[in-house]
Amino acid sequence: MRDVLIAGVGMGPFGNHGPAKALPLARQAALAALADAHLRYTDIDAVVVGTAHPLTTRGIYIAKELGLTGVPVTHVTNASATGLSAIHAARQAIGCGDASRVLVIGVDSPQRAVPVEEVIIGEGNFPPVVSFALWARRRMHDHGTTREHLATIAAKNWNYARANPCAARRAPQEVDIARVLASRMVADPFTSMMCTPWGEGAAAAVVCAADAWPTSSGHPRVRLAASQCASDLYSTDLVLEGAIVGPPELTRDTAARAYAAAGVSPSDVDVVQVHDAFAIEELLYYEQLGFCTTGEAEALIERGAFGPDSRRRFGLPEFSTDGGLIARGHPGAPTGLAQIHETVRRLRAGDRIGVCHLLGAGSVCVVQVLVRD
Amino acid sequence: MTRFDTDEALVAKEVLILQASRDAHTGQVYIPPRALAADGSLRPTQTIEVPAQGVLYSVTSFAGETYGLVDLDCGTRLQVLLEPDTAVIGARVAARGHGADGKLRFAHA
Repeated sequence: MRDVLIAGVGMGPFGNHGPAKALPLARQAALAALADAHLRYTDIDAVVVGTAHPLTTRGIYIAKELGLTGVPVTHVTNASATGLSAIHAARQAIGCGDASRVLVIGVDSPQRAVPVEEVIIGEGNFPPVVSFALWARRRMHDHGTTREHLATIAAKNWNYARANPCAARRAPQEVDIARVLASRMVADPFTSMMCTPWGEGAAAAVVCAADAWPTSSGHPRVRLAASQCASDLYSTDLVLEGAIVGPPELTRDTAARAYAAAGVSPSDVDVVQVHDAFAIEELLYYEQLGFCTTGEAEALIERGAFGPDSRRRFGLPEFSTDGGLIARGHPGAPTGLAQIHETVRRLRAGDRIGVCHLLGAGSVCVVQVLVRD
Repeated sequence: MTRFDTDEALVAKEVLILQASRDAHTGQVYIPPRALAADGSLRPTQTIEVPAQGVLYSVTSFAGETYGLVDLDCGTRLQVLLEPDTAVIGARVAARGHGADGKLRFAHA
């Protein structure tokens, strides 16, 4: 398979933009990604558009906003994993030789103001927060996890978001554990500051073959070294109805395949973006992604691991460095592109290996490894 | 239709019966019933009934409702509604009827 590189990234602010804003949001993100790649739309030979909300404008209408150039346009939807799934589709097109430069856009702003939680419940699920609160309560039962552990993760992500101009939640002052714990109780043990705010937004990337790297680009080359997708494997822990996702082991197995395909190990990884829609998820992914063994996460959180300077102090990567779903926001499809945006930013600035991970209702999982060679 | 092979003495009086299906080859029990086995073999399953009782695996509350995960005695995990004050992880629970809203809820046995 041909090497696949990330030539450009772009995004606009995530937040409460309201309904029917998909076209302007997508246009802003796409123009930013093209500018970052030093390319014009006429240099693009395929477009992949991801939307997670069923009422967001279809991909072809998003692409036509940029031009009527006759290129193939593919619409990808895969719940919360849509953004990384769209990147995966672009990778496949480049890898097999069908395309050389693919513009990938993730956007969500439904034509009508129908909350995404309403859509999820309409598919037969209990509210999303319930499934993850049930994960948390069991973890507390088994391992003595406390609300303070969860609040520590949330505060870390809120504080990372303070430096992200596109984050949906930008606290004017440093966020501490007490403030997270004092916020509104949503579903025991989660307070509102431990939960994603959802919202609307768009993000984009230009993905290219190595021989189609923009000649005028001065960026370091960031390679998409692996992209692995999976869905639930039956086990007695799997809930067949009502739970929005299956057991967290789906992440472990998908990540193991991604590391093997990329030829890296967890100890090589500098920075990680995960599906931290609820704080317990990030805690479990420390383990499921191979950075510590089961039951070790709490002690590492207490020592400050997975936050700023974690790589130097602990030999462990930083997590959710743009604020994650908790504070950067989770508009749906744009989330995966925002993860790619943040990983590229970090790798251009000095990190060498990054991991992006998303889980989606159903459940589906995507893990991607990005490498600066 | 067959009743799940469990000790009938454990089936508390008035415990509701749930519709399920079982793959005869693997013994896996599916709720809600699946027509085909989960292993991709496309093997048709058998329709069975199982008692709505087991052990509470986890519990939370949201928007005035109590939710739980229950490991049924047949080996299947369900996400369910609970009666208020059903909160002891590891304790036995069962569903004995539907509430005024018509919804099935589990409570401590």
